[in-house]
Amino acid sequence: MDIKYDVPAPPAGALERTISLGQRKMRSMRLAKMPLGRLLGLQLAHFSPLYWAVQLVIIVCIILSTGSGTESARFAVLVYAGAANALGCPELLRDISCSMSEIELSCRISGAKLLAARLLIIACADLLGLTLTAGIAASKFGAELTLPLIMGAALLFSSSFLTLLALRLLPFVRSRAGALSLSLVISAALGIVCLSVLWSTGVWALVCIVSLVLLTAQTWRELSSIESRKEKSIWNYL
Amino acid sequence: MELSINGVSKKYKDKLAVNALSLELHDGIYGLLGPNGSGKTTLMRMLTTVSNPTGGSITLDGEDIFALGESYRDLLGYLPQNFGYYPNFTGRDFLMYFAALKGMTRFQAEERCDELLELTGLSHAASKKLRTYSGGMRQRIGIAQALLNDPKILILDEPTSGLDPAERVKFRNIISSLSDGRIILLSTHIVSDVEYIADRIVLMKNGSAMLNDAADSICSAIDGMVWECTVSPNVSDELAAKHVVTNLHNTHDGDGAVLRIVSEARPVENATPAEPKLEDLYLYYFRKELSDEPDKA
Amino acid sequence: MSLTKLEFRKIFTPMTFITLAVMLVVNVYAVFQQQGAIYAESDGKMQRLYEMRDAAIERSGVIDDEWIAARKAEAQVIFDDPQYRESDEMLEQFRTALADEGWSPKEIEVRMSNPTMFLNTEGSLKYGVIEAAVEAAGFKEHAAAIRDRLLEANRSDAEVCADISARYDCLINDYTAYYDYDWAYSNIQNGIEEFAPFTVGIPVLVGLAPLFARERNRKTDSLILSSKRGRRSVAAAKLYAGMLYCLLVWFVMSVSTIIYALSFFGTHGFSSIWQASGSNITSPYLWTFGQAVIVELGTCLVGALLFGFIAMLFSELTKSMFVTVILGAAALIVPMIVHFKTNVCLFLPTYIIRGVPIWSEYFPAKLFGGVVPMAYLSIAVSCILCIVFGLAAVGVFSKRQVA
Repeated sequence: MDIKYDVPAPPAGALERTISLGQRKMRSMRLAKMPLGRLLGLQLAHFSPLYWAVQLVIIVCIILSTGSGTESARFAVLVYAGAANALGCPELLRDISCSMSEIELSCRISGAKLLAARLLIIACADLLGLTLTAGIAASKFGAELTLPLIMGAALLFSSSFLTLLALRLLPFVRSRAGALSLSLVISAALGIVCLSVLWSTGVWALVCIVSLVLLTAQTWRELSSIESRKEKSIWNYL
Repeated sequence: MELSINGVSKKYKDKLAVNALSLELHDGIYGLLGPNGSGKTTLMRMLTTVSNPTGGSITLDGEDIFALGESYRDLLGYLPQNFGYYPNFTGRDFLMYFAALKGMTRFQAEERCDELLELTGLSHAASKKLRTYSGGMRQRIGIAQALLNDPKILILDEPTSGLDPAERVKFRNIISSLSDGRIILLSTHIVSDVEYIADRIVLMKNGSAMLNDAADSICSAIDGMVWECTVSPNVSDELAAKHVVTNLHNTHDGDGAVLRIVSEARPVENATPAEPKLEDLYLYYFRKELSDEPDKA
Repeated sequence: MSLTKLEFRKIFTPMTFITLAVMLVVNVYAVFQQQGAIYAESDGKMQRLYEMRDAAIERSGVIDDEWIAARKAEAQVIFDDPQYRESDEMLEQFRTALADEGWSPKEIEVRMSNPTMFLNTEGSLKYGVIEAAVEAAGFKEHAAAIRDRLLEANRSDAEVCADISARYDCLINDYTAYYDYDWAYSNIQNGIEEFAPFTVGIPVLVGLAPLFARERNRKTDSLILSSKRGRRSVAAAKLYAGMLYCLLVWFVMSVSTIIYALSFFGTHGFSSIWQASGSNITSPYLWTFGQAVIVELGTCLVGALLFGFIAMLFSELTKSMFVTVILGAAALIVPMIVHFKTNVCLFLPTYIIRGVPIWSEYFPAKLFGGVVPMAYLSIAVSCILCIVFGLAAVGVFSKRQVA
């Protein structure tokens, strides 16, 4: 048995209105939270090609270098670690050097999250590069892997910590060239010290851990000062 | 919606940039006028949570904006006085980047970018690198990014700098069309930008709001004080030294000058009263600052 | 105020001061690094350093046959003393370890023929006190070995062989060498060789990278280039200012090194033999240690100027301070990682700034029918390149167009 319902026709334009209301509703919906991958992708897309190119060049130079033994391996890894810190600093200051920080700070996704994303990218790239460099140096120069790797990590963490501290104390460093110069000087000075001290693996490991703890604390301090807009920081408009 | 600025101060070392300023902002367009160094940009930075006040508070419907954090910034659109761009950004990249920072989905962002590029007349240049843009084009893309998230609170710091007259008129029309259901705060040196569109005008001086009135009645403060007269050139020099001259126009034959003067008393015999304008008010109230201020290009 | 003075003042940004300050501290470290290592190894006691110093002073004198015989006898006493000899088991273990590392039997034998290999820890410490003197005593045999090696390598060229023979025979037979306590000069030399690329090179780079590039960065180039003296005169002024700055950096670092070293270690040793200061000095130049250090300092200055001109040229060509710093740092550091063919590296700014490498070995080169040391060519070419790069920077700046 067919049952027919007598459904009245909708008013003219009702269908279009319903669709339009639905579209407007969709348009007004925002992401509750920015996915981490998207945040990282946003920052990664705008890293300078020089940042990647120079690190690659250093790794190629290490592959082409001559020498043997632990000394050569140490030197190669320390050069990479110093260069990685030097190159990372201008990328960290990218928003300031490009005069974008003021608008970014006023956006929903906070400036601290953007800085954290950049820090994460730089940290991953540096650690990956350091491990690769140590591996290449160890196999090329017939040296052990552990000591050069730990030394490189110690230099990387300590020079990064000092660079972050210096940025806090020297608010006039706002350009890419200034950041690069500052981090180059710090990396060179610490690299020279690291090259010439003769510590055991244990002592180096201790230095590595202490410098990592200090770096983590300084990074946390920097991010929370940006979030609170209170403390002295080059990202804050005090 | 009510944005309340309650006795807000901002002190930098030995300078008080904003001095216990209080304002209530409701829906509508507010024009913020003041000379360089009066605290306009500092106030705007505090309103956009870019900077913290050293005293007082800013609340939105009773809640502190710094405590609201992300949910407040979600309502915000901000165009700073000076802004840059990442190298190799195209116009579209710039908008898409900020759309992402404002939490928009990709689909939303693409639609909205197209709309705003159309609105600001930059559709033809969307795929070009920002470094190839003229100053006016860069300013327009900045305005576009401020409007991306359809903000309920729009803060614009000198938005018309670098725009030609036609672009300024277009900008005024855009802002006027947006004013419904929004708080728009607009700071500028160009009096005509706010004269025609602002609902209320706030004059800032030395970090304080010295005058805050509806746009159509603010000039009543200098009612009966604006005069026009035609004098000889040497008399015009004397008058310029003694009074606030808001306009000086030499006659074609060079024998005289037509002056527009703001003065409590009639400056010369043949001076006739004139209808006060916002520019007269501005020059009268900031006469000391403008005469002390070094000439800034 | 003259343009040069104004441009010179512009170089001194806060970053320049910070770089100079940090590198001055590194300089202190450089001077004391060698002795610091010995101090650290000897459980923090100065005793060993005093012993070594006193031993050097005691043995100072002309290196004649009698002196040489005395030093060899002293060494032999230590080698022959059973209390200083390593046990046979330890020696065997060491041989096995070398074999495991891939050394060939012949290489192991060569290594084991060195009598110092047989010394235990106590013996090594005892020998260490007189080691420098014993090495000085062997300088003639060492020079002869180097001469023979060079003759073998250049046997196809009679002129070069004659030159090599003449120089080395003069060093071995005719030169009156002295031995003295020379730590001051040794530390100055070490400071230049190991640290000058950083203590001199980095301040030069940081100071000069913005010299031309900053005008574009700060958008002052249109103002400068449109003024009356805005092209050639300004470019020349920048060049002179850059040169003065290089000179200043070199002067500050050199003088500070010299003052630290001479104040702490004394002025002894100016006349002591250079070739005995380390096994890497194999050249036949008849210089005392003091004279060699002066030559090395002068070479460092030439290197600093060359690097400075390169930095200025990069600054003008790239118009970007950031890119200039990266390129300059690469030019400075890559030669320290990648070792180029020996003759090529003598012309690199890093090697010239280091002062020592271009003089420490002897590389004869034939030029205009005669034989000259490659080091002389290196210095000459560096000076010519300085002029060329300088003129290039001036030329490009003068023709600069503002985009």
